[in-house]
Amino acid sequence: MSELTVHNLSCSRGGRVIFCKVNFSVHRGQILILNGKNGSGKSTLLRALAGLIDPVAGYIQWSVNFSFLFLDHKDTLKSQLTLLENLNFWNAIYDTSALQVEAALEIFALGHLKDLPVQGLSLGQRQRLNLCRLLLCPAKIWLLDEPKRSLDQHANRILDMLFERHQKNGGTIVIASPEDSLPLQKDSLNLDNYQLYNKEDT
Amino acid sequence: MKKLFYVLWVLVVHNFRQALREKNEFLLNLGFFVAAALIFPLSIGPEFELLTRIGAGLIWTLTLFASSLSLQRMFTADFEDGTLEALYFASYPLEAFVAAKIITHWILCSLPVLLLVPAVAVCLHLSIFQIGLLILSLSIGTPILSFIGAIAATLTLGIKSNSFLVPLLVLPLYIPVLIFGVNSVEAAFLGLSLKPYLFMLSGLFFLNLPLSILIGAFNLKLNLKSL
Repeated sequence: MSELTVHNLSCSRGGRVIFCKVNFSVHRGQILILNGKNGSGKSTLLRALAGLIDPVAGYIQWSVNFSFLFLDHKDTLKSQLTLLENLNFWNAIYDTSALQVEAALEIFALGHLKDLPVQGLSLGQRQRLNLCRLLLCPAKIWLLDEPKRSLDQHANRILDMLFERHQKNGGTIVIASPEDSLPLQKDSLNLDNYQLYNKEDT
Repeated sequence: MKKLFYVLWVLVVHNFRQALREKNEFLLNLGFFVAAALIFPLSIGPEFELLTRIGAGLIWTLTLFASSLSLQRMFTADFEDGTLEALYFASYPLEAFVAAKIITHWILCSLPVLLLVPAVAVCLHLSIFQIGLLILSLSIGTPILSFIGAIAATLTLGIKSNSFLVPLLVLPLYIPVLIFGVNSVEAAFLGLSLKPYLFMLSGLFFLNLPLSILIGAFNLKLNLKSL
C-alpha cells in the first residue's frame, strides 16, 4: 500500500511555475531521491510534501498521520548554546530518552565537542549536529533537503548506514539531492522531466 | 495537561539560556530606560512639583518604549533558523511556543525595568505612595504590553527589515493600557478611588492573555505557509 500519493502536482513560486504534472507514489520502507538541475524544484516539491507550500494544481495525499521529520538548509541550531544544550532541547521536544543525546553525538563523531558553543563549529560539523536529530526524532517519515551537503566521507557513510537502518525499520525517506550516489535500494525521480518548457515541446 | 506545561517549561528554559548567554539584549533595554528617564529632569528643570506631577506618566511612557524596542526580535531568530518549522512538524503546540516567548519577553524586558522603577522614581521626586502604586499598575500593565507585542511581532514576521514597523504598530494599541495605568496612579494621588482603573487594567490583561496566544499561533502558521 502506498503511503504517499502525488497526483498531477504542479507548484509555483514567486508567480513562476516550477514543475507541473508530477505523478508518483511512495510506499512504506521506500527511499525516493528527487534529483534534477538547480532550480528544477527539488526543494519546492519537498516543502509541498511537508505541507508548507500549497500546490497550484493536483494533490498530495498522505495515508498516515501528519508526523515527519523535515530537515533543510536551516539548521535550527542556536549558536550561543553548546552542542549538548541544543540537542537536549530537541530531545525534550521529541520526548525520547536522555541517554540518546550523547550516543547520537558519538555516532556523528561530535562527542569531544559537546560542551563547546555551536558558533565555533564548521559548516560540516553543524550539518552533522543537525543530522543528530534523525536519531532523536521518532517520526517514521524523513523529508531531507540535501542531507549530504558539506559532509566528509566518514559522515557520508554514517548517513548511508542510518538510511539503511531506517529503511529496514519500515521508515520512508524522501531526499532532495542533485547527485544520486546512495548505495541502497532506492527509486529516483528526475524533476527535469517535469519542467514547463518540456511539456510545451511535446 | 502536565505534558503541556512541561513543553512550555522546556522552551522557556531554552529561551532563557540563549538570552543569558548574550546579555546585551536586555541590558540595552534597561540602559535605554534609565538613561531616558534621567534625561527628563535635565531637560525640563529640577522643580519638584512639576516632576512629581508628571513623573508617573513619564515612567509609564518609557516603559512602553522599552518594551516595544525588543519586540521585533521576539520571533525572528526562531523563524529564520527553522526552529519554528521543526517545532511545528514535531506537533508542538504553537500556542505554547507563543506563550513561552511572551513569558521570556516579559521577564527579560519588563521585569528588570519594574525592579529599577523605585530608583528612577526617586530621581523624579515621586513619593513612596506613588512609587507603590506605580509598581502595582506596571505589574498588571506590562504583561499586556508583551501580549499585544506578540500579536504584532508574529504578524510582521514575513516582512524583511521591519525594525521600526513593530513599535509603530503597537504604540497605538498600547494607549488604553497607558491611560488606565497612569490614571490609576493619578487618581490615588488626587484622593480618588483607583479601583475602577485597576479593574479596567486587569480586564485588559485577561482579555489579551488568551487573544494574544491564539492570534499569535494563528499568525505563525500563516507565516510558515507563505515562506
